Amino acid sequence: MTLAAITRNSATSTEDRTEHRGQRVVSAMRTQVVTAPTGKVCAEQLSPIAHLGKALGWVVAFITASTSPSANARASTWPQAEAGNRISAFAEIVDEMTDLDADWNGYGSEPPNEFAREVAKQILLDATTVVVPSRVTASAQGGVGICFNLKDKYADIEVFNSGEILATTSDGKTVPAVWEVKPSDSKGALERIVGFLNS
Amino acid sequence: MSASSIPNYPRELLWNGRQPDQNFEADELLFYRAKALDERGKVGSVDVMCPNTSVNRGKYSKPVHVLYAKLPRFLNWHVLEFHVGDIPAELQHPDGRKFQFVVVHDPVKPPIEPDENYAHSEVRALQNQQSCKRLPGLVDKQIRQFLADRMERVPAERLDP
Repeated sequence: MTLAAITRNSATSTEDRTEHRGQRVVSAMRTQVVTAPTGKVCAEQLSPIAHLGKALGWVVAFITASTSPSANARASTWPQAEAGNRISAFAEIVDEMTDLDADWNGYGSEPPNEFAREVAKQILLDATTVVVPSRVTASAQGGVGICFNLKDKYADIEVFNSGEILATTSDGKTVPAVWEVKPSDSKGALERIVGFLNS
Repeated sequence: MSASSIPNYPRELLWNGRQPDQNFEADELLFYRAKALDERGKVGSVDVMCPNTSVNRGKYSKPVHVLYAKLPRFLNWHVLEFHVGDIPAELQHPDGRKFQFVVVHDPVKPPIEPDENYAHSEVRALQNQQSCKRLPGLVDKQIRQFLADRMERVPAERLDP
């Protein structure tokens, strides 16, 4: 890869960011999900009360999403009822990742740790009102991957066991755009992904 | 999986006294395995490990042989392929650091791996001509997605042992 190609990609990434700012203005019409857990996810949140709160958050987020005026802007073609079920099923898949062995893929990859699993579920909860993932999987790099695709376009948010969160968008032809995601701004990343998929 | 359905370990993956061969042509195929594919029939960066991405080289193996690691654990996984020439020569971190990528023929045998695999190779990262075991997150993510974009599923008719 030449340096020129990378420079060109940087310019594209900047354009993407501008475009996604516009997307965020449109999606500001979304109703806020007040019961959704926010902030750092930690072990204390695994208490029964936290579980109850999370479950309530899922229900309210789902109902809110069903009536959101921005629902038509979503990349996914899933009907709302199916979308809620699908995201809930993805959360269960994340929980089942506790069963993965060390070196689960024969390439020496670590299974997702508790931090990665909990943050991934938080992002899935945020996704309820933004975009439905197409796939959730253990990451070959150690962590959880939340993937999106529409036609030939691909995007993901990857939560690493290290605590880092990175996202990418790719059209499969040019150099992929990558950026760091702060746990408090996963919705921003999801909206940027929607903007990319719909562009 | 029954014992009778487990294939015999291929003879071409044995070393047989051969030494590593660092001559790669740009059109040589490299094979990688993945547990699942997305709706496009492809993988994403989350499915690719890098640096030191383990692959089997096409010059010395068939596509299906990449599923023969730790038999029979991966026999129902998917095989993907990409060309040596698809590997980007260099990527640059936003802070200016440059990282180079090369494929290295790295045959393995016990005790490192349960079985000999003469076709085993790795996509490795270099910085200032020194091997990099870890890459900065942004570069790491970009090279993994770059490779994932170029990986194509090997169709079933080409997966004969």
